Amino acid sequence: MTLKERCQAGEAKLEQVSTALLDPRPEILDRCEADLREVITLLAGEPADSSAPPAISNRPVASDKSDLLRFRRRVRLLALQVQNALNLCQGWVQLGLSQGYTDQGRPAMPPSEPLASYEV
Amino acid sequence: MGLFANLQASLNALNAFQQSLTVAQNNVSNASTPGYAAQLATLNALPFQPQTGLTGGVQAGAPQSTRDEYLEQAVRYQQSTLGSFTAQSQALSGIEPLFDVTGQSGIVAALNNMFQSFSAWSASPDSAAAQQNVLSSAQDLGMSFQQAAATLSSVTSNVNNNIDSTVSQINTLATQVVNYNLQQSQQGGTANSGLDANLHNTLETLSGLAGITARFESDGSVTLLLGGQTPLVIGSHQYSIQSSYSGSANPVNPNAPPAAHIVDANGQDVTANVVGGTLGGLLTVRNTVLPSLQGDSQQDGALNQIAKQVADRVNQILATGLDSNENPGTPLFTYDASSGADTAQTLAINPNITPDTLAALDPGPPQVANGIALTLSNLGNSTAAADTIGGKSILDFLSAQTQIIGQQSADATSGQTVAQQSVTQAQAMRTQVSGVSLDAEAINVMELQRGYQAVSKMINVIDGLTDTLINMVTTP
Repeated sequence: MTLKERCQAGEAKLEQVSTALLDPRPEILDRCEADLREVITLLAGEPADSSAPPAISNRPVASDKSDLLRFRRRVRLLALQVQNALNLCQGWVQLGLSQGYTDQGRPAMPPSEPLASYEV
Repeated sequence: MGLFANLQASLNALNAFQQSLTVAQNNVSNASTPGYAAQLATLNALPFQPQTGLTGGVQAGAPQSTRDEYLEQAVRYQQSTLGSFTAQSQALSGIEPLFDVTGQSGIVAALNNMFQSFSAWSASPDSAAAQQNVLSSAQDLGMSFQQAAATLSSVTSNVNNNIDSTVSQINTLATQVVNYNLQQSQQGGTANSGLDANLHNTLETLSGLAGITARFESDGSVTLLLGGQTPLVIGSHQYSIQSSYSGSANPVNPNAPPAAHIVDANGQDVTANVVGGTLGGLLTVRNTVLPSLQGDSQQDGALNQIAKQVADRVNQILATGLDSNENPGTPLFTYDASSGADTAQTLAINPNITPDTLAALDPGPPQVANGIALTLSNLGNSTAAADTIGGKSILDFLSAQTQIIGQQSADATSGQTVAQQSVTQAQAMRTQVSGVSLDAEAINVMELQRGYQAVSKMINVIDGLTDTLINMVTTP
C-alpha cells in the first residue's frame, strides 16, 4: 500500500470520524477513538500483522508531499471540530453547574495552556 | 471530493454539532424558566454523491420538544382546582367569624346574651336593671345583625372587585395567546421553544384563573375555550368576556345585591360555563354562599330570616303582654320591612321603648307576672311552629347555619391543601418528562467531554505523525 493510498484511506477514516462525532454519545466517541487508532496504524505503515515486515513504501518521497499536506489539512479540520466541541462542553458544564463565574456574572475561564494555532 | 467539498462538509458538521450543544445549553439556561420544556437536538443525514457535488455529512434538524400535553393538561386541571378552592377559602374566611361556632362572639353570642337577659328579667320582672339589661342586649343584637350584614356586604364588594380583576386578567392573558398565534403564523407554524414556554406558562396561569381548554391546531395556533365551550381565542381573534351584575326579572327583593354574571363577546350569559379557577370559586361564593346568607332578588337569606323571626316573634309576644302600667307591650325591635333582604341591616331596638314599657305580665288567664318574660327566655329553643324557621328552633337554625359555613370553609381549606399537593405532584411528573435535569445533563456532558479529550489526544498524535512524514520528505 503506497503512502498516497494510505493517506486516502486515512482521510476516508477521518471523514467518518468527523461525521460520527456529530452524534454526541459516549459510545460513538469510543468508536471514533478506535477509528483514529487505525489511522495512526495506517500512517505509520505498520502491517495489520505485526510479525510481517514493514511495507517497502513506508518512507515518503517528494511526490507524497501534496498528499501528506492534504491529509494534514484534514487532520487539523478535525482537530478544530473536536476543540470546538470541547470548548462547548466546558462552557456547558460551567453553565450547568453555575461554577466558574465572576461576581459580575461573567464566565471566569480556568487558566489553561495557550491553544496551538493551526494552519489549515 | 475536493477541498471545497471537504470544507463544506466540515462546516456543516461543525454547525450541526454546535447546534446540538446549543440545544443542551438552552435547556440548562432555561431550567428555571416557567413553562419551558427541554428540547432534543436532531441531526439529519445529508445526501452523499461526490459526483454531483453533494458532500454528505449531517446537518442539524429542528429541535424537538419533550413537552407532554397530557401532563400539561393535568397540571392545568389541578391549577384550576387549586384556584377555585383558594378563592373560596379566602372569601369564606371573611364570613366565618360572623357565625362563631364557639358562641363567644358575633350573632350567636348576641342572641344567647339576649335570651339570658330575658331569663334574668323573668326572674325579676320589676327590676329596672334587668329591664335595662334586656334593652341593652336587644340593642347589641341589632348592632350585631347590622355588623354581620355590613360585613357580608363588604365581602360581596370585595368578591365583585376580585371577579372584575380576574376577568380582566383572563382577557389580558388571552391577548397573550392571540399574540402567540400571530407569531406562530408569522413563523409558518415552526416550533419555537421560547414562544412555546411563554404560551404554556400563560396557559397555566390562565388555568388558575378559570377552567380553560387549550386546543392545539394543525397550523400551530391555539384555540382557547372557557369551560370547553365559550371561545376566548380562535386564531388571531380574541373574544373578551365581561362581568356584569344584574338581578332576575320580577325580583321579590329589589334592593338585594344582584347576582354576578359572566357574559361573552356577544353579550350571552356564560356564567354556567365558568367552572374552576379563581373565577369559578369567586362565582360560587358570590352567587351561592353569599345569597344564602344575605339574600338576593328571590330569597331573603338566612341572616335576614333569623333577624326577622327573632324581631317578629319578640314583638308579637311582647304585644300580648302588659307593662308595669298595664299598657299593652311595646315592640322591642324595628326593621325595614319593605324588602326581606334588608331586615338584618336595618334591625334595631325600637327608639320609643323604655325599660318600664317592657311587658313582662301575661294577662292570661291565668295572669302570670313574668309570663311574657318567661316565654321570651324560652323563645330561642322553642319548637312551636310559630317560633321556628324551616322547622327548626331559632337557635338550632342558627347553629345549622354556623355548621354549614364552617363546613364550607373547612372544605375549601382542605380542598386548597389537597389541590396544592396535586399541583405539585403534577408539576413533578411533568418535570420528569419535559423538565431539565441539571444533574443528568451535566453527567452526560462531562462524559462527552472526556470522550472528546481522548479523541483530541489521538488527533494530536496523528498530526505529529503527519508532520514527521512531511519533514522526512523535505529533509531526506
